[in-house]
Amino acid sequence: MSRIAVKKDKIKKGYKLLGKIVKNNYQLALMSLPLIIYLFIFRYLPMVGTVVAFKDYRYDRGILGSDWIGFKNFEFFFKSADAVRITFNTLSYNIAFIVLGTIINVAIALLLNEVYNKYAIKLYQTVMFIPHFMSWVVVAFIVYAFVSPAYGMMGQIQTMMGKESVNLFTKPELWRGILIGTGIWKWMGFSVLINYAVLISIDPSYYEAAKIDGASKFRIVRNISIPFLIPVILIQFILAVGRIFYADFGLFYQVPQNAPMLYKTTDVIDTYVFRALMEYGDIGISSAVGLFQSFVGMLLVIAANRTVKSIREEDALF
Amino acid sequence: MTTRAKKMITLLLAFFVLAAAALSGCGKATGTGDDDAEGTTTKATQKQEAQKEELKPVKLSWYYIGNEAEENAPEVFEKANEMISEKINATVTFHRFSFGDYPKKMQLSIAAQEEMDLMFTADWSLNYAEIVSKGALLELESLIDGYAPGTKSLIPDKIWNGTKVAGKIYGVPNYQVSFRQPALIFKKELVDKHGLKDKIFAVQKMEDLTPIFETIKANEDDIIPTLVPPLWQKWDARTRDEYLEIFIGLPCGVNYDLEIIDTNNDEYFIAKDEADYKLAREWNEKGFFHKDVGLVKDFTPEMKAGKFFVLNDVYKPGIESDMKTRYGYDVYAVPMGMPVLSTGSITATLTGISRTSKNPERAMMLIEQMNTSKELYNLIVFGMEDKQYKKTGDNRIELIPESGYTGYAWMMGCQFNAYFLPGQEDDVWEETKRLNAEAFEAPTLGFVFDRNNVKTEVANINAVSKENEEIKKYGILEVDEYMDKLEESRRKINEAGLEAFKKELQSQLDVWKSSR
Repeated sequence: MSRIAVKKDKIKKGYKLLGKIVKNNYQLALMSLPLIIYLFIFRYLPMVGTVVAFKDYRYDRGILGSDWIGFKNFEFFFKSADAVRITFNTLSYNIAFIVLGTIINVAIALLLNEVYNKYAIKLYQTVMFIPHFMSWVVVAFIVYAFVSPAYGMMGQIQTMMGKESVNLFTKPELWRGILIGTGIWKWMGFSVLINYAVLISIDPSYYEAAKIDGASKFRIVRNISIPFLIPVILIQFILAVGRIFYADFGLFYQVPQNAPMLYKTTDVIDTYVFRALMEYGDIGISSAVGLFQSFVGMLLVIAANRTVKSIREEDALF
Repeated sequence: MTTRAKKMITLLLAFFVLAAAALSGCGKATGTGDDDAEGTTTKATQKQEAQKEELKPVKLSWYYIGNEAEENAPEVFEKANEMISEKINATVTFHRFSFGDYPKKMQLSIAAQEEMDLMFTADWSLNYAEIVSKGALLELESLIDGYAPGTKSLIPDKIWNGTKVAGKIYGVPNYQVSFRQPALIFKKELVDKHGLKDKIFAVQKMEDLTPIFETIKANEDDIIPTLVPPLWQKWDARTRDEYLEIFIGLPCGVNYDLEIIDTNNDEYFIAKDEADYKLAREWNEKGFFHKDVGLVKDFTPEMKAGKFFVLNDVYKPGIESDMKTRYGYDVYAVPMGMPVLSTGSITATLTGISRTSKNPERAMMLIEQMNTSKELYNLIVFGMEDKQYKKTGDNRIELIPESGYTGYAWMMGCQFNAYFLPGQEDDVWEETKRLNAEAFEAPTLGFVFDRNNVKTEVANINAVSKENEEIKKYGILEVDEYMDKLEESRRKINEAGLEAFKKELQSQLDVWKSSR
C-alpha cells in the first residue's frame, strides 16, 4: 500500500472510532445537555459581566461604554476597617463547618448504618432532611422563637425557673455556637445521605469476613467503613475549600436577625458587603468583591487538590 | 471504592448543588404582574382637542410605592386610564411596590436597562442624587417648558431650585409641605385619660418625656411608652446655632455658616452624643422601649394595634387625620426641632422620567395632568366615589374602610388639589403654604453631594456607623460597655477615610458656592 492509502485508511478508522464514541455515548451526552445549557447560561455567560468590576458603571453608558478604572473598585474591601475581622470570621466559620460538619455527619452515617429497622432508617433520614428544604428565613424564625428577648422560649424557661432571663442579643460570643449549630443542623441531612450511600454500597462480604475473624464493631468501622468513606469525604472537602471565602448569606444575615450588637461574631464578608453597598446598589464594587472571593476560592481549590494528590493520588478531584 | 462510584457521587453532588441554586434562583423572580391594571382599549370616540389629533396612542409605565396587590386597584386604574387616554391619548400601566421592596427592585430594573417611563424617587428611597449621578433619569428642563407649563407655574422657583443637580432639574416634586420638621405623635386616648395634654405640648427636649413615660409605664400594662429614641440633633435642636445638615448619613455636617463640622471628633458633639446615650440607656432600663428593638425591623402591626404611646412622623398641618387613617386611632401631634427647607426636604417626593423612556414628552404630559387635573389626582389618591370614599361636602370626603384601594397623597401630583379628610381644616393648604414660606431655609439649599469620588470611603464609613446605630438609639448596652465601643467606632470611622470625605465635601461646597 502506498503511504497515501495508509493515511486514508487511518482517517477512515479515525472517523469510525469517532462514530463509535458518539454512538456509544450519545445518550449520556443528551442527558447532560440540560445541565450544560444551564451552566452556560448561569455560570459562563455572566462571567462576561465581571468586567464591571474594573469599570465605573453608569446606566446611561452601559457595561461596555463605561470608563475603565482599573483596580479602584477593589480598594473598598482592602481599605475597610473591618477587613481583618470579617475575613477571620468567614474563614473560621467555614473551617468549623468543614471539620465539625465532617465529624458529625460521618458519625451519624455510621450510626445509621447500624440501624436495621427499615422504617426507623426512613424516619431518621426524613427528619434530618427536612431542614434542608427550609428557606433560611424560616430557619431564622425558628431560631428567633427560641432566643427572642420579648417572646423567646429560652427567656420564658429561665423566668419559669426563677432566674433572670438573659438577652442573647447582647452576648455575641454565644452566637458562634448558635450559628455553627444551626448551619450543621440544616446541612446535615444531605451530607449524611451521601456518606450513608457510600456505606450501603460496601460489599457485605467484607463485614462478614471481619466478623468471622472476630473483629469488634470499632475495628470494623476503623478498618472497613472509614477507608471506604475517605474518597467521598475528600471530594466534599475540596469542594468546601473552594467556597471558604464565601459565607452563606442566609445563615449569617437572617439567623442573627442582622442584629448590629452581634456583628463582632456574626459579620462575614457577604453581610458586610451587603450592608455597605445596599443603600447605593454599587454594582462595580460588589462585583469586585465577588470576583476577589471567586479568585481566592479557585486558588484554594487548586491548592487543596494538589495537596490531596500528593498524599493519595487516586482521590484527587482532577 | 471504584473510580466510577467516585465519579458518580461527584456528579450527584454537583447536580444537587446546581439544583438547589436553580430553585433558589427561581424563588427570587420578581412578580410585577399582580397589580398591573390592563390599559383600556376603549379610545375616546370624540376628539375634543385639536392637540389630541396629533398624538398617536402610546403606552406608559409608572413605578411608585404602594400596596402591591389590592383587589380594587385594577378598577381604579382602568377609570384613570379612561381619563388619561381622553386627554393625552396614552394608557398607563401602574406598577406599585412596597416601601421595602421599591428601592431594591428599582435598582435592579434600572441597572438592567429596563424600559420605564415614570418613577418615584426621593432622598430616602431610591436615592435621587445617586441615580441622577449614574445617569438613570432624563434632564427635564425643556420638557417642563414644552409640555408642563401649568406645573412650572404652580411650583415656586425656590422649590424648583431644590431639585437641581449641577444646575439641572431631573425630577418634578409633589407640591405639598416642602419643609421637614419632626413630630411626636401621641395616642390621644391615653393623653386625655391621664391628663397629660399640657405636659406633652410643653416638651422642649427629649429628656422632658421621661416623667410622662413613667406615668404611662406605671398605669398602662399593655402599652409600650415609646418607639422613638432620643436623638438630640433631630429632636432637640431648635436654633440656628444648633443647626447642622448631615449628608448621606455620615458623622459630619455643615452648619449655618457653611462650615464643615466633624461630629466624629468634635468634643462638643461627642459630649452631646454621650448624653443622648445615657438618656437612651435610662429609658431602656426603665422598660420604655419594646423589648425587641434593634431586632424587629417592622413594627407596623403593633403600631396599628395601638401598642405604642409615642410614635414619630414628619410634621405638617392636618397630620392628625393622616395618622388616624394610617393607624386607626386619634392622636396629638407635637412638632419638635426646627422646620427646615433643604435640598433633602424638597427632594423627598419626586417623580422622574427614566432615560429608557420611549415617550418622555407624553410622560411629562401625564405629570402635567396629575398636577392640574383635580379629578385625576383625587382618583389616583383616594379611588372612586362611593367605592373608596363618600363625599360629605363640596370638597370634603370620608374614606370607606377596607375599600380595596389606597393611594398616597404626598407621592405625586399637587397635594393642594386633594379633597379634605375629616380632621383637616378648610384652610389646611393655605396654612401649609404659609408654613412653607416661613420655614427656616437651609444654607445648603440647592446643594447636592455627589459621592462618586469617595464612594469607597463612604461605603466603609457607613458600614462602621451602622454597626452601632441601633445600640446607640435604644441604649442596648451598659453605658461603660458602649463608651468603649463608641471610642473604637470613632477610631474606625477615621481610619475608614472620614478625612478624605471632608476634603471632598469642602471642595464640592466651594464649587457650589462660587457657582451660586
